[in-house]
Amino acid sequence: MADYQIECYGVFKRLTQVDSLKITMGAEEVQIKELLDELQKQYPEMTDTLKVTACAIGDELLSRESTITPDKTLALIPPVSGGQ
Amino acid sequence: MSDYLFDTDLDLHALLAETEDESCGALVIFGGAVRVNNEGRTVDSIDYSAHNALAEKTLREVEQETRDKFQVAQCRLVHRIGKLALGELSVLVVVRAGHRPEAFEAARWAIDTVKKRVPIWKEEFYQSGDSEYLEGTPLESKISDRP
Repeated sequence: MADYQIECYGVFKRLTQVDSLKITMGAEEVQIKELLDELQKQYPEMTDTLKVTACAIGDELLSRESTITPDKTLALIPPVSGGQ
Repeated sequence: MSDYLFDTDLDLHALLAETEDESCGALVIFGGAVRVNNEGRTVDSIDYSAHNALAEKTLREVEQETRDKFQVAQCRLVHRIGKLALGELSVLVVVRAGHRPEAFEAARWAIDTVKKRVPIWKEEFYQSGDSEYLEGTPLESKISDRP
C-alpha cells in the first residue's frame, strides 16, 4: 500500500474543505487516471469538476495516462478564471 | 512574491520602467479591476488564488508567445493574489511595440490567453454574505480519459 498526496485548488478547496488529501493505493506507481478514479469513489462530490480538471506535478501539466509515485504531489487544476 | 504574482498592489510604474524601449512608438496598458456587479449579484470582494509555480511559468510563456506572435518588443503580465476590494486591480498587461495596431492586438490576445490558460481562480464574495467560485475555462489540452 502507498499513500499519494493530492493538492486541491479553487473550487476543490470548497468541495473538500481542505488544502490537500491523501489517497491510499495498492501500488508504488499508478497512472494519474487510476488515482482520480479512486478519488472520485471517495469524494463523489468532486465528480463533475473532475471531468474538466487538468493535473500537474510541480509546474508541469500532465496527461491522465502519465504515472505518479508517492514521492510526488499531484495538483488538481479545475477550470481557470483569472483576469479581470 | 515573484515577478508575476503579487499579494500587494500591482505596480504599474515599475512595469513601465522595466519595459522602457526607445524603439517603441506605442504603449498599450490593460488593467482588470474588481467590479461591483456580476451576473446580477452585488459583489463585495474577490479572493484570487493560484497554483503559483504553474501560474508563474504560464504567465512567462504567454509573455514570450505574445512577443513572438505579434512581433512586439515588450510584453509584461502581472496578477494579484489574495482578497481584493471593489476597484482594486487584479491584472495588468503592458505591451510596447513599434506601432499601435500590433500593440492593441497583442494586449488583447495576451489578456484573453491569461484568462484561458493561467491557473488562477476567483472566489467572489457578495454583499449578501455568501461566496462562490466562478466557472472557468478547463485546460482542455491535458484532459483525456475523463473518469
